[in-house]
Order: sequence, then structure tokens, then C-alpha cells
Amino acid sequence: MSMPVASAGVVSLAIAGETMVLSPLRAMWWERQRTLIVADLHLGKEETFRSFGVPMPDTILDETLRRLDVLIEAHAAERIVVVGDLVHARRGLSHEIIERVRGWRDAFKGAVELVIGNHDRSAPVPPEWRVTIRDDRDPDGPFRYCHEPPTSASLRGAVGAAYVLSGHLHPTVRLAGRIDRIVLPCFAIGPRHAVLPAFTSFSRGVAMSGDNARLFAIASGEVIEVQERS
Amino acid sequence: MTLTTSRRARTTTIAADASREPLRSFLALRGLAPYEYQSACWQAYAAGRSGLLSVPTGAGKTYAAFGGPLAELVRERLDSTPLASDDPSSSVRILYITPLRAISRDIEKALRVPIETLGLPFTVGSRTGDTGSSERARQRKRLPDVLITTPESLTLLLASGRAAEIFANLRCTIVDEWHELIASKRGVQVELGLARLRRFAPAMRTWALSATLAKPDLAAAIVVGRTTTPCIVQSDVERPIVVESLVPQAIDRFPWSGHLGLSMLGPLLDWLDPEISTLLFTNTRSQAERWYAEILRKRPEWAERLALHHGSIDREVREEIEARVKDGRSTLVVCTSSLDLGVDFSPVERVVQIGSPKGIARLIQRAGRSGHRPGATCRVLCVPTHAMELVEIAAARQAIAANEIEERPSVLCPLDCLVQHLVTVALGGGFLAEELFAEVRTTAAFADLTRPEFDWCVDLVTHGGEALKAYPRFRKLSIDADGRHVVTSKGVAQLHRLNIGTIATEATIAVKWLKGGTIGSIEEDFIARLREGDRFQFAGRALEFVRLRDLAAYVRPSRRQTPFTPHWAGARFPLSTALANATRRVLHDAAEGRIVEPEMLAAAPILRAQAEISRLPRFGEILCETTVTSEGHHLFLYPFAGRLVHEGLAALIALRLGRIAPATFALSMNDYGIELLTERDYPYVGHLDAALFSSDRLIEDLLASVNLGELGLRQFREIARVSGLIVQRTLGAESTRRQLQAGASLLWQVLCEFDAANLLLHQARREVMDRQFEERRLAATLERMRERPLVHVVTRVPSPLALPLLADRLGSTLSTESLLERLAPFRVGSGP
Repeated sequence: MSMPVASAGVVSLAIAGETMVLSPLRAMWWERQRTLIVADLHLGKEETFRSFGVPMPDTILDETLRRLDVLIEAHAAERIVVVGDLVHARRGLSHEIIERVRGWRDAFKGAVELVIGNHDRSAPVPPEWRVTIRDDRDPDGPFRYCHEPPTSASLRGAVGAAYVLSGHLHPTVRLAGRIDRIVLPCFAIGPRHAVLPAFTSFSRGVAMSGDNARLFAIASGEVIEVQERS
Repeated sequence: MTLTTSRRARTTTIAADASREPLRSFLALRGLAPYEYQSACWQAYAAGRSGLLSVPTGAGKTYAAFGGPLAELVRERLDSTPLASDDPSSSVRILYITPLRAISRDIEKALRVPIETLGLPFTVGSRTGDTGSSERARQRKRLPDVLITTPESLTLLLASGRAAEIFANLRCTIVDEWHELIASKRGVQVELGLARLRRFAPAMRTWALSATLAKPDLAAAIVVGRTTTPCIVQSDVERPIVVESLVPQAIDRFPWSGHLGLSMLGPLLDWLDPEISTLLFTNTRSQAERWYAEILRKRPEWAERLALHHGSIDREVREEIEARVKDGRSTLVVCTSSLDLGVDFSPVERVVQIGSPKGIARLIQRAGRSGHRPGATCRVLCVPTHAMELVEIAAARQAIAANEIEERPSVLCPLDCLVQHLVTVALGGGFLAEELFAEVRTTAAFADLTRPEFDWCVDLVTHGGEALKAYPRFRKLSIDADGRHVVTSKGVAQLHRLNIGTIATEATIAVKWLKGGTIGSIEEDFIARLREGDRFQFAGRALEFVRLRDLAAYVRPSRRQTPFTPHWAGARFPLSTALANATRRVLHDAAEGRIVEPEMLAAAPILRAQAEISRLPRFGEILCETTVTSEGHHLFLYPFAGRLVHEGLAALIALRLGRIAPATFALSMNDYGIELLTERDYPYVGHLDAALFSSDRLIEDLLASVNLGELGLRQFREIARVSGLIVQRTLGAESTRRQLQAGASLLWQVLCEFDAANLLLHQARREVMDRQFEERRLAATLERMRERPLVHVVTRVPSPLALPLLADRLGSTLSTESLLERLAPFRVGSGP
């Protein structure tokens, strides 16, 4: 498969006073901190299926890692923050998978940080991947990283002072005209928090509402802000 | 050899030799003589033949098939000393396969009676999904001489390490209700199973039982396999069929579309009599639920007499209903095809068909449930739910009179069934690729299987295909020292046994009382939409949804009734070719002013409206309408080829039009025609020519439209399940199930992207064409559209034929515009 160019089709916008880039490769780029922020990689998901004898194609992991490489290289990223669900399940962390990801990790000279997601809880991240675990209460500039998007109640509380970058939902946008219906992965950017698209392409998602967030769909290698037609 | 027989044989020899024809002796004890076709079957069996017995329902088929092998057992037993129960040769002698496990007990009883009456030393037992654990334990020690089973349970027995031993002494396999199995993957599963049994017991004979079939020779050839010439026994026991209907008094109040339509409820209630046993057939489970609830609401005094029966109701509840029906406590039974076969209860006097039967064979079968005696007249009362069903009922009557029955196309080379079979055989003793290839090719379904296709399937389960090349421990099969493919992993074995079968079911969720007890199961999609406190109608009760937990929906009884019933996916039958042709003929007659049938007289005002607004389609033409409404620009075409063909046709025409002038179309279809809708003005008329309906590149274009329209997905869901790509049932832990949750749509998308050469994807696409769109029927329809004149009418309002397409829009969209073009209206800043 051909790999798209990382600089094409992006959208830049100000979030919590910082300039952030939304990439159609399903990542957020924070230029000032040279940091890539991604969510829900679910590494080893296809391997979990294979462990039950379900023949999944081998190229899913390759494609995920190559997409990360394209992003790292294009932006000269120095750090990756994963907002949860780096891995899928314990059964999926076979020797082969651990080794292939380690090969990728060894080639990346920067730091990899992870806030623990629900899937990571059941499967400890292999030490050879050299991943630093972040507490999801720790701020990073104006941001805080959480796997699950905050509830409106917690946003009202004191800890809600920082802008939250999260994942977990694998957000999609459902666009319905009188005739056409389109479902696409998306970024949901709200006033107090944002939800990132799942980095893995092997997943289904939750439909987001545009009521309290701007929705940026990913289509044909472009990030496009969309809205329901009135 | 084809034998056609009738009447009972005239001679009644009480002293008939029980060892030669035990069932003749048994019947004689009851003062009966066998029917001629029963004797004919016994003789054919004694002469070593295999074959097919095709007679109308309710005519003693079971004994016709059972007599021959029973005589053989008696003779063998007389020739030898009694066998000890632990003798390894104490294995199954006669295998009886029924597609419906609910009737296995009735068959068991029917077979046991003569054996016990004549004091024969044989055991009879059942092995189905309902067989309890103590009975299973007994059977592990010793299987009965006569075993009744289902296709799925047979496959499970074949997946046992002792399969060769269990079936080594098999003399005969009887396949009941073969007409129900033959056009399906379950039928293919049976074919593969029979080929396996013939390897274990080369002398085994095969007899299939069926209702009247359009092509009995083909059905017989499939069941006996390609190495045997079948014998066909048919009976001309005539069962005249009378089709009647409830005709609405005033057509202007009668709905024009829909399928639940209750407008004839009042007249039906007047006609029904709780003292007369009556089966009320509906076409869908939701329709059954709805009619049951409405009858009960209007006639609460019938509560004791009225019962509801369909396949989603929990087994225990269903068995209780069946028991009530059998002993006559319940006399009015609202049911679906769950009661098409069997459940032989006290004679049914009347049969009601609610809605159009959609097929001639189905109507004959259902009518056959009344007057359950050879030669007796079958009567069926049809209750139309909307106006066009009046036309279909009249057409069905004419088709029955003309003896036009649907042909059942067979399923060819379904690789998903083969993939599953490979694991089954590997579990049941293993196989050598060379030998199994030859064995599989003896079935009609795989007669054209190529070695590369076979090897691809073996590779998929042995090496995991391309996907699992690097993962030896995830392989399902391994090769032992003798070169045999076997299963060594316990996990693979357990998972396979849990997921055997070919009946595609949507993921279902059990519906349970908060206080304990299961009511049945409903598709996940329906449950997912419910919120706490929502009410719905299921298993004949009004329920209130409480919560969803551990894959069960917990409910409590609701005091308030609700019209809200679950929809079960894919439940609606399409109009069959035979009935569609008959419908076109009666419409043609109406257009020519010949309106005689009572249903057509009742429908006359609507037919007149069609003629005024547009035109009544003649048999030799294709009607085409265009119109503009607030929705947009519509094209209607009426080929009358059934909903499934229309689904393919709509996608094909949209794709071909879209190539000329790109657009995004909404497609909808019903049994009569298709609708294409665009938001903007679209030049339909200029492009409706022979090129649009061409059969050139039909397959390529269909594939392209299938990919675009994602129609292949639905077929893929079944294939993915049968071949083990989607695991439906896992062992215990809920967490396992969650780890494996991948809908068919996701798998389809992933395979298309990462493993495009996967043959199961090809099969999915091919099946969409063969079965979903019935490619041959589609090609024939296109030919008709090219050759017959296309009569175009611009209508100021949608015509009576068009309205149902507008009202019942369940269709999809197909776009030939790029994603970015399609997104344009949704872009922020694109303006209103």
C-alpha cells in the first residue's frame, strides 16, 4: 500500500493557546514541544484474533508502525504521547509482536509516554519497549492527558482546569444528507477537551455529536471540518 | 428408475413375514396395508438402491424410508448371535437426519412404535442440540441402533475421534425434508457429511424424503452423491388445494404498502373459531408477535386457546407451547415458518396465511398442513395486508392451478463450508489431502472444485493462509508423521465444536426475567437501541426493559401493551420467480380488462388509479416512471423480478448511470421494482437504453457496485462465520468474547485492505451474485429489459406502484462521486 505524505491535508488550529496540527494520519502534532499525540494503537489486536485461530492479515502492524515512522520523520518528532490503549490484550503480546515493536522502538530515539487505558490495564506494556507511564493527573503545559474523555461533572471540578486530550471512543462522524450517508473517523475538539481518532485502522468507533465540539473528519488523506447540514 | 404409485395395495396379508417386511406386519396388526409407494421404497431398498421419495406432506414417508433398512437389520440379527452391548460393532445402523430438532422426538416416537410392537431388539435414540447430558453420557458408551439427528449434530459426531468406529456399521442414512435443505449451505453440510459416512461405511444407502419438488431427479442425484444412480419414487396421491381469501369490503381504506397491516383483523376474528384447530402462518417473527398481540387484545376470552410460536422463543417455552398444541389445549396458533415442518399435532383443520406467501411451494406446503390425510383437500385462507397482496393471492391461485413451482438452485462450491468441513474431518480422525479431495468431489456441491481451490482451503487452516505464515502455534491443523492433517490443539477443537453449523445468525442476546428464567433471544441491534423503561412486545408478552448485563437483557412484565416489536434481520421472503411471473400475468389480464378473481375485483379501484396516473404494465413490456417530489428526482422501474434481484439491479443501474453522469443515488427496491432518487435534477430518461441493461461486463460491474454499495458485506457475515473468521461462541469468559469482538464489517474492510486475494472475499462477492442477486435471474431480467419495450410515463404524483417504494425505503445509497465531492455539502464554511 502507498503511504501518504505527512504534511498533506493537515489542519492547524489553536487549542488552549497552543498551535496544534491535526493530521489525516490520525495523530495530533504539537510543534512547540515537538510532540506527537496519538490514541488507541491497540497493538497486537490482530495477533489476539490469531491466537484464537482466526487468520488475520499480517500487514496490519506493519502499516501502523510505518504510519508512525512517516509522522516522526516528517515532523522530526522528539516525543510521542499515547493517550491510552497502546496494546490490545495480553494474548496479543506474543514474542513476535513484542520483537517487531521493539525493532521500531529501538529505531526511534525520542521518548514514548503512555497514560494507561482500559486495555493496557489487563496487559502490562513490555519493558523492552521503554515506555514511560504518565499519571493522567499530571499537566503538560496547558494540557492533561487522559485515556477516557472527562465527564461534564469532572470538567466543572478543580482538576478540570487543564485542557484534556483523550481517546478511548474511536470517534467517528456520521453525516447524513437527504440521500447520502457517510461515516468517517474524526477529531472531536471541544472547548475544554478533545477526543483523538483511534490510531489503529482495525477498529470501529462511536458516533460523535457536533453539539459541543468541532468535528474534523478524515477523508481521502485530508482533515476536513464538517457539520451536519441544517 | 421412476416409480409412480398411488392407492394402498389391495392385499392385506396379516401373516406377512416380519423378517422380510417388518413394517408390513406392523401395519397389518393395525389392520392397515402399506401404500404402494411404501412397498415400492422397501423393494427398491431391498434391491440395494439409494434414492428419493417425493410425496405430498402427511403421507407416511417416514415408514416408507424406514421399512427397508429395518428389514435389513432384522435379517442380519437373525443371521447372527445377539451382540454384547460393549461390542465395538455396536454402532449406529440407521441414521435419520431431520432439519428441525423440534421434531426429532416425534420421529423417535414414530420409529419406536413398530420396533416395540413387534418386539424387535433394537434401540432408538436422538442426538440433537437438545439432548441432555445424561443421555449423552449413555450414548458415549453405546449409541442406539437407530439414531435421529440434525445436520449440525451429525457434523459434531463426525468431528469426534471415534467417528470411523461409530459409523462403521451404518446401513442406511435417511434425510428428511430434503427440499428444505437442498438449496442451502446446510444442505451442503449434509452432502459433505454423507460423503464422509460413505467412506466409513461404503455399502451405506441413502434415501431422501421430500415434498413435491420441481426437479426431483436433480434433488435425488445430489443426495446419493455422484457415484450412485438414484431411484426416484413418487406418488400421485392427489391433494387438491383450495386457495381462498378474505377480501376487504372497501379498498379505499385498505393500505397500499407495508407488511404488518392489521386492517383485515376484524374479518379474520369473525372467521376464526377457537373450537376449530387453526394454524395462522405469518412471514416474519415481528408479524407473528403483532398479530398474536392484537388477536389477544380483541378477544381476551381466547387467551387459553391462543398460542404464539416462532424460532426466537426459548426452547423450553416453545416446547411447552408445542405440548399445549399437541394435546389440544391451544387451538389457534400464530406461527412463522418454525411450524412449516413437522410438530405433528392433533389434526389441523384450517390453515391461514397472513400476508402474501411470496412463493408457490411455500403456500402449497402450508396448505398441506390442513386435512393431514392422503387425498384430503387442503384449504388455505389468505389474509392480504395491503392492496398488491390481493393481486399476489390471485396470481398464486392461478400458478397452483397451472402447477408452476419454484426451482431450487443448488449451492455450488461454497468454500466456507469446505473450510469448516476440513477442520471437522481433521478432528474426526484426520485426512490425507489427496483422499479427501477425491471424497469431497463426489458431492454435487463440489463437483467442480479445483485442486488449487482445495489446496487454498487446506492451506488456510493448516498454515493460516497468507495471514498466519509466520505463526505456527496458531495453526488449526497440523500434519502428523503419516502425512495426515489432524487437530492437536484442544482450544481449536473446542472452539470448532462450539461454532459448527451453517445457519447464519446475527449476534443475539438472551431476554431474561429479572426474577429468573429465559424468554428467548433477540438480535443485538434491537436491544442496543432500548433504554430503561422502554416497552416492547416479545414472545406474546408486553415487556419493560430494565437493563443489559452479561449479554442478557433483563426485563419485567409491563402492564401496558405496546405496538413496538423487534425486527429480525433478513426475515422477509422475496417474491419467487414463479409467483412474480404469475403476478405479471394477472396484471396484464387486468390491463386488458379481464378481472374475474374476487381479489382482483376488490383491487380494481387501485388498478384503475394505476392506469390513470401511469399505466398498468403489460406482460410484454417494462414500465418506467419518472416524477419529481419534495424529496428529489425519482426514477421507477418495474421488472417484477423479486426484491433480491432488484437489489442487484438497482446498484447496477445506478453504477452505470453514475459513470455517464456522476451522482449520489438513494436506492430502494421491493418485489415489483426499483427506485433511484437524486437530490438534483438528473437526466435519467436519455440514458435508459440497451447499453444500460447490457449483460456485457455484468459480473465486473456487479462486483464494482457491490464494493461501492457494500452489499457484499451481508453475505460475507455468513461466510466469515461458517469459515471461522468470526467466532460466534467462545468458551466461558466474557473477557474472551470482548477481545474477539470484530464485526463482519470490520473484517471485510481489513481483509479488503490487507489481504485482497483472500478467496473467501471472492466467495462473498460470488455469493452475492449467485444467491443474493440470483445472477442468472438478474441476467434474464436484463435480457427482458433489453428486448421488451420500455414504456416511459412521466407522472405528476407517484403512482400506486411507486408509493410502496417511497414509503418503505430500506435501501442503500450508491455514489459515483468522490468522497471529497460528497463531503462538500458538509464542509464548515460551505454555506447552507
